[in-house]
Amino acid sequence: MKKEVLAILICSLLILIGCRSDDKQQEGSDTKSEKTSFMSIGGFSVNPIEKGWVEVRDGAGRDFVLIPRGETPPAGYEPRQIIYTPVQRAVAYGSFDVAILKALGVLEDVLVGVTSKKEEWTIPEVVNGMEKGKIAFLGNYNAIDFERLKQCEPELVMTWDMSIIPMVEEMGAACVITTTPVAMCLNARMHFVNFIAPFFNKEKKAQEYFHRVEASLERIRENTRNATDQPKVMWGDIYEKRVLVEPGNAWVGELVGLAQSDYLFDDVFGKSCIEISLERFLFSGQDAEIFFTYRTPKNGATSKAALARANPMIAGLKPLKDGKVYSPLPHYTQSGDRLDEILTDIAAIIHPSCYPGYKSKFFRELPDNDPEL
Amino acid sequence: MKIVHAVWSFCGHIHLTLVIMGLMMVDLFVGYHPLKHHPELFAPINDMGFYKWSMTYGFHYLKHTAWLFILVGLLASLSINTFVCTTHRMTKLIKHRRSFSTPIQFLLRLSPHIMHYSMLLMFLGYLISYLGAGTHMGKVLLPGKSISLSSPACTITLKKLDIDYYRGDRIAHMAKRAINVKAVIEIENDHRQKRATLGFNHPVYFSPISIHLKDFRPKTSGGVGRRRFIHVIIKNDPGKYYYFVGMLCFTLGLFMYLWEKRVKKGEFKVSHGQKNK
Repeated sequence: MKKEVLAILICSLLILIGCRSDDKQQEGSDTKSEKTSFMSIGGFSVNPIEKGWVEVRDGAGRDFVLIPRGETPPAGYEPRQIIYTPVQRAVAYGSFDVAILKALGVLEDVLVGVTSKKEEWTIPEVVNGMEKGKIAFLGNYNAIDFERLKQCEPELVMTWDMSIIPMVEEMGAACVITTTPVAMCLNARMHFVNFIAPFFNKEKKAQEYFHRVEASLERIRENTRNATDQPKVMWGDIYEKRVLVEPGNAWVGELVGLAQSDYLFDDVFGKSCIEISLERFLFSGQDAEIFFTYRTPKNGATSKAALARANPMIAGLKPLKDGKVYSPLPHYTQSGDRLDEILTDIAAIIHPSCYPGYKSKFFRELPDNDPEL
Repeated sequence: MKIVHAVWSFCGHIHLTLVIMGLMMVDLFVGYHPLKHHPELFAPINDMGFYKWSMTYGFHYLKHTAWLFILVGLLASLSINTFVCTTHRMTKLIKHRRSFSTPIQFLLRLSPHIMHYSMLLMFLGYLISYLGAGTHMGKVLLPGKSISLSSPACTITLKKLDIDYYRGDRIAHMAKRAINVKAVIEIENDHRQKRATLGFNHPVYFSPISIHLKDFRPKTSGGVGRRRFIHVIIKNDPGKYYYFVGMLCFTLGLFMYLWEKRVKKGEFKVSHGQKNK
């Protein structure tokens, strides 16, 4: 029996050693060929195959193959799976997708349709495009005008709404789901640009963006390393019938942890804006020091008193009584191209002592009361 | 011949089973963390197949997936070990079948080996599934609309979508939430047509494919302009027959085993006028 025990120990060691050596191999391959290697990005993936073709998997697990214009489509794929690159006309539902197009430097050239009105946009390129009639408002996300969508002649529709897939495919366009059933972690959020880039042949731009965000993350790690306090943070809100928060697996939760802080919904797992019980929210609210609300000033987040008036149940939360409450500014959700600055902003809010004199660009600290008129 | 015999004996030895089991425990212990922290790397195995997964996620993220490759190797070793050991025992039992007082007692004694063979059949089924199954992901059906599959060629139409919403008031947070969904679909190809109701844990089979409900909308009642649809996964899995048969045989073996235990305890007599063994 001793021999068996010895064999088990030896094999365990081999497994562990195997993992260690794989680590090194991995690092080597990443630095060697960043552009040409397979990449898993949360629920998405990018897989360069032969002849410069790229196989991508969207948030719904659907595979597409991106091939340069003029080339014969490879065998083994349905026509709906073939997308010719670079895509020249795209429609985007989500503001993060639009911001990523901006980061890739293709927004003005390719974006032809959006699902928010001109007044709701803070990205100058989108506003200009809409004014010039180059970018069309297609109707609200739940009431898309398919005639108008057809007139836009998109080659690609980036959406989170799966119900439009049959209609879009009927039009002959590709419909790519850009969200996943599970919230994007920090790594996926940073790498998401690598998923969008091959559609527009902008892999190099994507790498620049990624390295910029990666560098900012490294600076945050460095700046907050010696932070003495570990503030407790919560991110979410109570609505009329639902309580929504950012789960611990979301990039926000991970960032808070990375910045030497305590995210109070760390144990919650699931999609972004996940629903939890009221009791769970209020329980965390007893300890929280910093509360990030989803509500913008337009939605009533003008002061702590205004929030409490809108929903008396949150009046008892510690951040509303003696902590800090932050509300996103209107351009926050449309600034995905400045993810590095957003991450720095959040870190500076959590650890103001590590960022002396820093002024937030994307959030506003709510005063106790609204200014008297 | 001696070498073959030695290899055969080694492959079926109980000590080898213990070693493999021990290694599997260590391997699963190592694999717990990557599986917990990187579920996104493993989920695609279900729809893209093991070979393609190995070539992409598997080899590219080897530091997280190595344990799974090792586990597959260990499972293969365990299968060989089980096959050899079971076959060895079965051969012996068959040779000495006349020493049993009744044929039923002989059959009952085979029960553990039937379970072992069944387990191997299930393993084989999973292997076939992971290597040969084809999956269509992200198929959306709107009421009254059809989708077509090229392989195998067929058309699927959503005829009717019934979503039950919670109407009570005892569970406040469930108010107006969907609690059940029934989708009547029609599947047809050149040779036949089938109409069936699809629901959660209620797939529809239309050989060789099975249709599974993944999601649906709207999840809450009320509101205007919300599109009704179902999201289905379509699988063509030749391995399922193997593990269904394997499970049936395993259950049969289990009942035979329990029966044999009762016979041994004297609760049953297997034939008239004979003592239980």
